[in-house]
Amino acid sequence: MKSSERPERPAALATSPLQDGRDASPDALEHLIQQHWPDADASPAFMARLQQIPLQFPQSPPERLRRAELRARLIWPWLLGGGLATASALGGFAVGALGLVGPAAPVDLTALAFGVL
Amino acid sequence: MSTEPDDADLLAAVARGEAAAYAQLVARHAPRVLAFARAVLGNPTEAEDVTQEVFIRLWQRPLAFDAQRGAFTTWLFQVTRNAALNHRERVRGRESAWDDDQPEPADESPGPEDACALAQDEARFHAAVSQLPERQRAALALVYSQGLSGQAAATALGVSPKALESLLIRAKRLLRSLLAEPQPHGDAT
Repeated sequence: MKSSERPERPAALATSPLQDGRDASPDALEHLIQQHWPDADASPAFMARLQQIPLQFPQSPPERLRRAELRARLIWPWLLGGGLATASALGGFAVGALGLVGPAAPVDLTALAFGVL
Repeated sequence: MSTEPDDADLLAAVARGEAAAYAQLVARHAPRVLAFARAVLGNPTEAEDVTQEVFIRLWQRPLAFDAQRGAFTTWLFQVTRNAALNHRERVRGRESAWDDDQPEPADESPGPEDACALAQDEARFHAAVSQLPERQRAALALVYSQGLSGQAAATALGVSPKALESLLIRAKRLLRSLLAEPQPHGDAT
């Protein structure tokens, strides 16, 4: 651990309450804990190992993109369905419109044919 | 220091896959995670394994942290403790002990006699701490070593502030009685 992040150690370490009469009153004990709590200095090699994690465990794809992709997976079927429904409705409308025009057309064409003949 | 991005910004960048942001988070928090993992497990090698596990998770799932539920460090200690306990489950049966392969002497480097006294003190203290139950050790570590507030430490341990207070009282009582016991000579570990 960085020394800057720890409570400061007093300079007179040799005169700790542990040595002098085993004084372990609450205040002294808290002081002792802060003073003697085992350091766990991260070695440069270990820090380097941690820094290698992105190379060893690539995010593929990054989490945010993955979430966006999940959302897209849910949304696309709806969009596709909606598109198909719209297309179907438009097609139906077109067929309907032809249906309205349709009956008149053959008559006219027939009349036209007879007129030509 | 004030110009540095905060943890939330860095996490957002990590979520976009920015390794540089991840590197900053490692530099900022890895020593604390390692120290806490060691406090929970009492074994430096296992603590490194757990710390690595925590940072792999942080890299792969940065969005698991929810800023609305508390501070990033609190969450990080929570994740670390869970990872440590899971690790402990996996290797159950192995004896854990506070190893003295480390502590780097403080900057004010004491003289040879002082250093010897310090080493004895620390070995004795570490031996006593290693006998505390895991929860009590974790509570002491969060409050006195990591400097977390009572509320944050309670959240990290998943207990109420009152329960944390009780844990601390019991830990200190036990530690005091362990330190009062005469120490057998010849075994500094």
